[in-house]
Amino acid sequence: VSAVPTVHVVDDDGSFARSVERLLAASGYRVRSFASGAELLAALSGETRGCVLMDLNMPVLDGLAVQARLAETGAAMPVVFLTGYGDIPSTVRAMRGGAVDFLEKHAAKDALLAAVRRALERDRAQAELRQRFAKLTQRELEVLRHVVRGRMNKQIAADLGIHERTVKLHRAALSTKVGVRSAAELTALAREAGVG
Amino acid sequence: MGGTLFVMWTVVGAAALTLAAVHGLVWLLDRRGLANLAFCIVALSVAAIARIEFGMMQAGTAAEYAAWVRWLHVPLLFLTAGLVLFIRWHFGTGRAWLGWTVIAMRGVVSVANLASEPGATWQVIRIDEVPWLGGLAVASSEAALRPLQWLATATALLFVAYGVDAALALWRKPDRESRRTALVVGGGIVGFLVVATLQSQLVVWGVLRMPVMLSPPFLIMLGAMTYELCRHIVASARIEGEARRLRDELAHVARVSTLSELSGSLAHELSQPLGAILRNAEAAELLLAAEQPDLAELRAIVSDIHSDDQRAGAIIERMRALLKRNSLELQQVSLQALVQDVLELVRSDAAARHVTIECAVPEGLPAVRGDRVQLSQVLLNLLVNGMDAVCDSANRVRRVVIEARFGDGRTVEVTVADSGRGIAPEVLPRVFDPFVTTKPKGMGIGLAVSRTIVEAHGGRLSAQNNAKKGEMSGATFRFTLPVAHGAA
Repeated sequence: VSAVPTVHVVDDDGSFARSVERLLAASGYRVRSFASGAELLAALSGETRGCVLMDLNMPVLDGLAVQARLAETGAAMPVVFLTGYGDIPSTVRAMRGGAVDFLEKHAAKDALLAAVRRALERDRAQAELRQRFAKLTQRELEVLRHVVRGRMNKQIAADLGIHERTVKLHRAALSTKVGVRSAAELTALAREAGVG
Repeated sequence: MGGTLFVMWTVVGAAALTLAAVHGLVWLLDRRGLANLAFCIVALSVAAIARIEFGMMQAGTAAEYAAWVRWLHVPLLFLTAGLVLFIRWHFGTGRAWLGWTVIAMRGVVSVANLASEPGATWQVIRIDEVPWLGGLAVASSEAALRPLQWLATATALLFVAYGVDAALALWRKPDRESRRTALVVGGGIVGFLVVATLQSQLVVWGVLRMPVMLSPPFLIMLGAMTYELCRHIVASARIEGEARRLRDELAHVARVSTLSELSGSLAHELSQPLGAILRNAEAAELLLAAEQPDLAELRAIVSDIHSDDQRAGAIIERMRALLKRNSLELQQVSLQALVQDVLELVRSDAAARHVTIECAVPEGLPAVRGDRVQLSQVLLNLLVNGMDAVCDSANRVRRVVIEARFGDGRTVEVTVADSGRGIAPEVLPRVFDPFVTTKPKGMGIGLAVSRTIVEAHGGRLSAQNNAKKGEMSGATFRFTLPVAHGAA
């Protein structure tokens, strides 16, 4: 059930959360709303899919803190922040933390829906990517971690105690499984998928 | 006997008595108005002089005339003393030693005259009726100068010198107001003093054969003094009004400044209901586009829009109430409601800064008498300061506590304590002085204005640092307010 992409609305203001929930539901999304970041974190599992639409300014656990906790757990989802008034430092921190968007609470409907669409799209892409990486064997993952760190085949072979030619074979196999042609592309995708 | 004389001297006496009564009352109501007291003494003396002069004009015998003359020296002493003091107290000029010399000399002349039978300065031997102001009046026709007459003349001259000196001192001051006052002192007071003295001295010296006529010029002199006192009253009323206006203006500036500190979080708070209304309306539009709109959901949306609108309205109303300019408006104020209102204002700011505000205002607290807006301002100022202090400190406990309690039966005491770092010892004695601030963007008028407001309400506002032990390590601000009548 939780594999169905869901928009998770988090706002301590019940009336506001309800209104966003209504709009997204009427626009055809599956929505769940939470009164606090703690409620959201408690409800998540590894299979949870979708995105988080969250008030930046909440008592006890504010949006940035929730974002950080989400990243720590396996259930990292793209986050869209909503704010009454955005100040530059918190915007920068939110973006660094990987927020997809940063919107004012009374932003235009189209902007909000577009942000949700982008966030879900990114979640879908990440899930798809994770699936691609999931096909890798244990050994291939090991090799991948070294590649991502920018190590040469010879070094990897020495570290893993295998032959350099075997490393090359593993690299060719995992590149085919993930569907990339260069080491740079592989590194970027691995980062995106949170592998390595 | 001419009725004109009777009417004239009665009018002079009555006018002087009226002025004396008015200024005597003014002095009774405000004991600091010493000039009014001096004026009252002068006016009473003029009334007495008018009565005695009328007695002289109607005397049957030289002995009776002489008896009146002797009594004349009593009011003359009081008039001299009153005038000397009036010039000193009201205009602040006049040499003190000269003034005291004049009073002392006049005292000697008056006492000597009262003590000796034929009089110490002037002995009237024969009297005659002379035509006077359309009727007949008694005047001395033969008199002898007594040994102390030179002292009376010298006193009169010295008195005039005292007045002229006071007027000149005023004239030399650079401002226009002092020059105008100098003209009043010089022309109005000294001028008519000279006229009165000259006339009586000429009669005494036998140059003029007419009744002694001191009271009419003295009455004109009283007029000049009244003019001066009235100007003073009008000016101080204007200054008072101006000061009150400035006080209100400053309180308003301080309120605007405090609210502007909160403006960010208030904007955030306002964006909640406004955002909710917008999203609800958008959702409703989408629902209505469906073939069979969900009416129950639409009803719920309309109901939410309604309450969110009221929520936004209440936020704006609270701000508007504090932002408007007002003059002091005293009414019964419930502290509990007041504290709740102010808490609503700072709620979102406190949440954003992770400060917990605890509030202990007991149910049955009696109402206080005060201006709702200004009292809210004091509380708001103390709360915002408390939150600033808490956020400024390394203490992990971020707490501000408001407490109110019924004091000694006549006052309610409110304290605002914080868990900040406290006030630096060198700042503590000056913490209520204007333009003293520890905040980078502060103007330093919040606490100064708060203290003025509390004192205008008949209370006191003080600050102290808490004991360093425990969580509430910061400062405590404490103010008292008198309980409203009939509220205790």
